[in-house]
Amino acid sequence: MIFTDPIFLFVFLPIVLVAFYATASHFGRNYALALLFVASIIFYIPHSMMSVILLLIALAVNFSVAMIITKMDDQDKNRRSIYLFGQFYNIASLCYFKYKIVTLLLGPKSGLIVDIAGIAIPAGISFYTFHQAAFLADAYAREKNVTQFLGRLGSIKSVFSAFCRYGAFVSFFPQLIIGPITYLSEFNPQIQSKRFLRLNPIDLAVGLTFISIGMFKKVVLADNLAPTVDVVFSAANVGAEIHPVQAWIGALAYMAQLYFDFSGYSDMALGLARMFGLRYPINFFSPFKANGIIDYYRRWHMTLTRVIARFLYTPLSVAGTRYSMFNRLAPIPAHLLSLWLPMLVNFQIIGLWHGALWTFSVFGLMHGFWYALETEVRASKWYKSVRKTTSPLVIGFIERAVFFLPLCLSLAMFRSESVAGGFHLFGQMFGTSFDAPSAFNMREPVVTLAVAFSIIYLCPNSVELMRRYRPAIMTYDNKSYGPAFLRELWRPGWIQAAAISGLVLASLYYVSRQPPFLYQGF
Amino acid sequence: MARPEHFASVAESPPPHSTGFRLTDTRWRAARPMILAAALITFLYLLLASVVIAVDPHNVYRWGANPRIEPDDTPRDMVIDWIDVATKDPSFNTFLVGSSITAMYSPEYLKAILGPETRAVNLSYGGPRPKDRDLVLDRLIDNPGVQHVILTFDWTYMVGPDVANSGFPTFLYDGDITNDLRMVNLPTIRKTFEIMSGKLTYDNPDDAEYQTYVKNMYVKFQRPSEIAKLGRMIERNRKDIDAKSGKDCHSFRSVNEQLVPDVRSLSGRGVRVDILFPIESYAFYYVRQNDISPTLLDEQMIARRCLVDAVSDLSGVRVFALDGDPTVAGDLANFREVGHAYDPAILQRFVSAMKTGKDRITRANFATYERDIRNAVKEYRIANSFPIHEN
Repeated sequence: MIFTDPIFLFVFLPIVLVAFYATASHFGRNYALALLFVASIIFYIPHSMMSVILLLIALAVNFSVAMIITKMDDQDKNRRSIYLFGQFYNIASLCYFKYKIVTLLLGPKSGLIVDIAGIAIPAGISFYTFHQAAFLADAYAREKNVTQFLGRLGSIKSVFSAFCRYGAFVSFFPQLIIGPITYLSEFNPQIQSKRFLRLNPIDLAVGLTFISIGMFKKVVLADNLAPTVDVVFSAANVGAEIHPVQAWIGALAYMAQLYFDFSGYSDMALGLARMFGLRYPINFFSPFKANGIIDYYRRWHMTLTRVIARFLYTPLSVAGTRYSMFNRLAPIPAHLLSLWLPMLVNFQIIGLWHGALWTFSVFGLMHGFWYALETEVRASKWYKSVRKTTSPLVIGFIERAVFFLPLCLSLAMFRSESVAGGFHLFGQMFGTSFDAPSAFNMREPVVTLAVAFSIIYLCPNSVELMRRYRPAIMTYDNKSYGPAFLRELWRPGWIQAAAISGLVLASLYYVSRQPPFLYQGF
Repeated sequence: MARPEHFASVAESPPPHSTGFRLTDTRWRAARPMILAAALITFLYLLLASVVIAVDPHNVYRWGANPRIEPDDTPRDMVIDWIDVATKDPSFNTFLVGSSITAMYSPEYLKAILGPETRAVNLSYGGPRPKDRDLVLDRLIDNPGVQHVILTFDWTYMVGPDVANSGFPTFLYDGDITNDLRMVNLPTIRKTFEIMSGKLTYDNPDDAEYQTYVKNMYVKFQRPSEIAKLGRMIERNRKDIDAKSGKDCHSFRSVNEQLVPDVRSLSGRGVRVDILFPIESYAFYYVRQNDISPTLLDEQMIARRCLVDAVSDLSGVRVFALDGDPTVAGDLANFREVGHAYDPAILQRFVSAMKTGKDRITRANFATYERDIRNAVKEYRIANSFPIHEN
């Protein structure tokens, strides 16, 4: 199911909501979480039975490993091996099912092992794998929430009960397919709280508002930009001549499409979780208002950024710094080893996390270089002195102007069907094919783009709008940009109810069209 | 984790045990408008969905009303919602399954050319893709009343079998009733209420609009500046126009896995199937190689050859093409766009071919046809008999 599908919104969600609070009030926490787990599996079934089986196996493996290493003594030599086995399973399943590594190595017709790998990429595999990998790391580090969460595992019933809790944590439907990638330390305290399971009408109101805004962003804005994007990028892929204005419209339309698609999903995920009394970490916080790539990654897909930084960048950077110190390397090689190399690897993994495509690799390379370069510039004396002597308003404007173009180009590469197609589009954007036939009628895309970018730059994001009700867990300490007088506070009322009804009705106008969220493909 | 500055002034949620009955009441009162609005929308949507599914305006279920298409209606882009209405109607025996290039044919027009026994319906809609085309043909295969099917073999058969027209309601034809809730859109709701008020037939409101649209398109295309732009484009793309694609018959999965089996099933049932290669101008290949495929000409020729090979031995199946005639495909005055013919005489010749058997393509004459087209396209120089003073 996808969140914008009427069967989800008008049938599945109300039933699960009523069943959850009824179970919670009659049978308690464990049963309520078990119900969420079962509901999430039902939610996942339409994606394919094979995906469901794979998810259940992944849950069983990770839960078993976590259970074993939690029980084992720190001195036990096998503890590390079992932990590594769990992480190996996660990485291997990702490589096998998502990256089709076996098919790549053995060719498309090499027996059963390749045939199984040949199934469609299970929806959400990248998300739930990272989710569980982070959980295992917490379990290995004996993070206190893990012990509390698993509880005493003395009987089969208690193990089963813990497994259902774990199943609910990993596969809870608002975040199963596209995240956010949540740490147990964010989930466990909430379900242990006495407030959890108590029906709070404000949670419902906040959740409904998030869902309406998210649905509007996805269905009305993102999906209406999609046809223009598809036309321009397929034309670029076959090396077509594209009028420069249309090439720019295509690239900008993709920026806005991706923005509202992911933002819409993130809002809906926060809203859905909130209706069940849970707050999830923010994944998206006005990223196009960022003043540079560093700020951007603290606002775009923030939960992925922090997982990769925790498990990849930090260890690599620490190792590079140590190596440089112990071997007394010269400043430049030491700097390359402790900053540039870890940064490039970090962004290469972020790029390839989206899929095994060269375009993602080039995208990762672009962002890696850009991030490292910006780090250098911001650390330089020149930048610091300019910052001291120039008005923050001017600096902010220049930084955003400098940030916009590379972002637009790198996202165009990200969307392109091939690297050649991406570079061809760049050529057309800066080219002179004014004779090229018109690929689409421009009026509608231009109007939609104008509306989309006005919302992006002028309006507060949903979290800012709802900040009175602490709508989510802050992943990073983000500043709010944009006109302050427009950052109104939301509170439930009849006018707001009319506004969200308007958003839902506008979305329902396009009900027959249900393209999946873009991040479902990653 | 540090909280951002703007969160400093945020009102904290009250601690769990400080909430008495009054506060709970206040919360309910505050949230009431949102919850009522959501409940109302859910209730209304489900109510409308129940009514729509019960009435069944698209005739996809075994129950419900039996709406009809009036004998001379041309639903055009609305047709995608009315596939089952048309294919389940026993009064039709001839179906034109086409695309935008055949959208202008009215059933009466087809009847006038093909003969009085023809009771036709035009199931043409813009931009068909293999998956939805296959769904339409599957419905015709299941219809015992079908005697004659006219198909256009559009370039879209070059794409994969899973590609569907983005506006086509594939969810209505997949056997899963749960996703049928998506059909509850404004046109369907309107049609449902029309049916409930006793209006069981369809009427097409867009005839005049369509004629104006087509005429405007023609006038715009014939502007000297447009033709000159086209000429420059042809010269720029000339060197690659006959580039080899490296494809063979196995490359066209939609043809092999969908179209040919469907045609075989229809033929096996004794249905006459006429396949038309669309009348595209020679300029079409220069312009659309730009966005469809750099080797469009080669791929089109191979796909056509493979189709002719595959269906030639099937009884009652014929293939027609008019683009071998340079006076048709070479003269841009006949077109409203490089891939869409406009001249009524040519459009008539297109349909008449099925009656007369002229312009037929067979396995025996395909090599000549292919050579002629390839040469004509390769050597093409802009030709336009449209009188300039009419602009």
